[in-house]
Amino acid sequence: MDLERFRERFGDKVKIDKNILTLADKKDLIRVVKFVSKYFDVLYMLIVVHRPPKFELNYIFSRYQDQEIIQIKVEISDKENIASISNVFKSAEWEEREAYDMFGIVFRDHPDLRRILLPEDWPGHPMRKDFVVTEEIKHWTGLDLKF
Amino acid sequence: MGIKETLKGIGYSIGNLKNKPATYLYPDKPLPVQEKSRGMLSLDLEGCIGCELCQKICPADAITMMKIDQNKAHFKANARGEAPAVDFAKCIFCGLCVDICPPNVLHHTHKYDISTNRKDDLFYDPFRLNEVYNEEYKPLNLKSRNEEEKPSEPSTEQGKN
Amino acid sequence: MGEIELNIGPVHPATHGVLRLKARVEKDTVLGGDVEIGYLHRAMEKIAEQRLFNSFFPNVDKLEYVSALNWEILYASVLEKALGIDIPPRAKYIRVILAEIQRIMSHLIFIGAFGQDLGNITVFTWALRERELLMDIVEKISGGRLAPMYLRVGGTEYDLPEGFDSMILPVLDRLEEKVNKDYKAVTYENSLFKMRTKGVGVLTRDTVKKYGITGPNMRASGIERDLRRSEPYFVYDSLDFDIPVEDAGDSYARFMVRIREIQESIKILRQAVRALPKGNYINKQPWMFKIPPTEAFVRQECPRGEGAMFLVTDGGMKAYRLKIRSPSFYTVQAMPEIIKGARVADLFTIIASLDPVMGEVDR
Repeated sequence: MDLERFRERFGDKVKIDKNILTLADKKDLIRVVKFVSKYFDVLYMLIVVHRPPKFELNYIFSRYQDQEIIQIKVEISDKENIASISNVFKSAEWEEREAYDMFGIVFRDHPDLRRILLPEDWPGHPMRKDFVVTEEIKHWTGLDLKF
Repeated sequence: MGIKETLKGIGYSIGNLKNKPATYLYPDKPLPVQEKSRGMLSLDLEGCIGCELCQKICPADAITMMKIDQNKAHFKANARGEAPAVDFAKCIFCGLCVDICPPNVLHHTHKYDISTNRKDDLFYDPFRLNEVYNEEYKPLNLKSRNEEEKPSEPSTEQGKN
Repeated sequence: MGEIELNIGPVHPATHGVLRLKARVEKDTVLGGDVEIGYLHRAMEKIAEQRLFNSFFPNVDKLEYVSALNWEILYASVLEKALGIDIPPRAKYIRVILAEIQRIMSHLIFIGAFGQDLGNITVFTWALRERELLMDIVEKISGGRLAPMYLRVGGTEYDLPEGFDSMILPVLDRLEEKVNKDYKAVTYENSLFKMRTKGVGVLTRDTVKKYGITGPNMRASGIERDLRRSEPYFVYDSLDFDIPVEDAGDSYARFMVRIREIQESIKILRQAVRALPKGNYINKQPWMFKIPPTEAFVRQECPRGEGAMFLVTDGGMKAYRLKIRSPSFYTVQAMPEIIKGARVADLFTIIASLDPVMGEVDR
């Protein structure tokens, strides 16, 4: 897919390399994603990679009429939060909930941000590279959760 | 309303009465196994070279290396004096250790009933694995991964240094 | 009067695994609901960072346990793309044959479970009887029934056994006769079945495009898309097959799409077995290898939709990050919107016709 229209529209806020777009600043995310939603239908995958002390988020979008995909990369630091794109793409709701559950990233303006795969009172965020199995986790039984 | 199709379906079920029953009379008769089925492991102790590759690749951490007296085991060429011990309470019978073994001394057998009354009996040290190798469940010699290599015989001359 | 909250809990014989559904019901109509997952979470992605590349194959088998070889083929493909190696032509044909056999087996479980949820246990035993014949063939090829462990990087572990054509062609003939004749009388031409599934759980095209649903559920709503046709991998561009599409979008259409996919897979298998070339079956790689720092992304058509894997490496002997995209995750996300306005007794028809497998939703 020809990504020249991104370069015309956004200038030097993006860097293009084959079909990967790298954003220089995380504040432009919503504007770029709204421009993407004119050409692509659905969020395919969201991949979070932890390279301490930064997180690298990869958004992959795809569409139904042919097999084109586009990948957008953003870097944020360990302690920041980032805007949520679930108002533009509805399929991003559960993907962002899983990223919060596993890594601890907080998405602003998400309609329902809570844990999805692990129980609600589980301590820690497991997929980070500095996660250590403590005594509290070894003896966690979940018997005091109310249903 | 659905009566005609239901009667046709009943007719197919009644037509099954002419087939012979499909029950396996286990444990009176043995279960049918195929040639490549992955059962219990067996070890040919004399050919083991103690390279520890089976311990590194096991996904379930079921293999540990034990120090063995060289005189009791009659090793042909074993520098460290070690041999693998398998804990069958953890083994998932995946077959990776059999594939990677360089002198081809770990084999799968067809034995599938190894249950005991105590959990500690499931830890097989190398001498017990050797007994399984010498028993009636003879291990198979399947072709190794390279087409050019011949299948290894139980007692080749290895380690000629 | 009020609405009550009906809890269809994780331990239930008709929810296809451990799925929790909290439905809000008033008199006999469902107003909406909430879905809760995570009862089968086994931390597959964290384990992938601690095992060597070749030691992770037993875990990939257990993701979608009714059709294990499809995910093994996907994991081997993503490792080969990161390494940059090719596989010989015979290995490509063997992978296509195994993928189609596992697709037929997965759809047979769907027919059995769907019939059983409606109360018809006869179809369940018939479907499992046909699945046993195919399971015997998979055991003859690889050595295991539910966890085959047959694929390696660069090809397959053993060659196909001798006399493979005479093993599989009679089974395909018998399968075709059963699907076209016996199953008709109790499922798709039975007027009781048609009354219970036509018009139930309609999935519109906008819902499909909003939530990213793929696979047979998408094809039953009128969108014609199949990765084997639009982005062909292995040897699918030299084989001749059709893509079944229906328009109605209800449970009956989702059932018919899968019956036609079984017939198309039988066609593909007959062509592939006849065209199998001779030669090497593996491009041999060392057992413990390192991959230079790179990213790789591969997607293929699994029986429930489009599955994908994304691998990030850093030059060591283990993966740095492996992400698995499962198609049932997006289907289960759309469930609260599909069950609006249905009756309580139709809930189980809708869940069974969407065909989720909880092993790949929770990973």
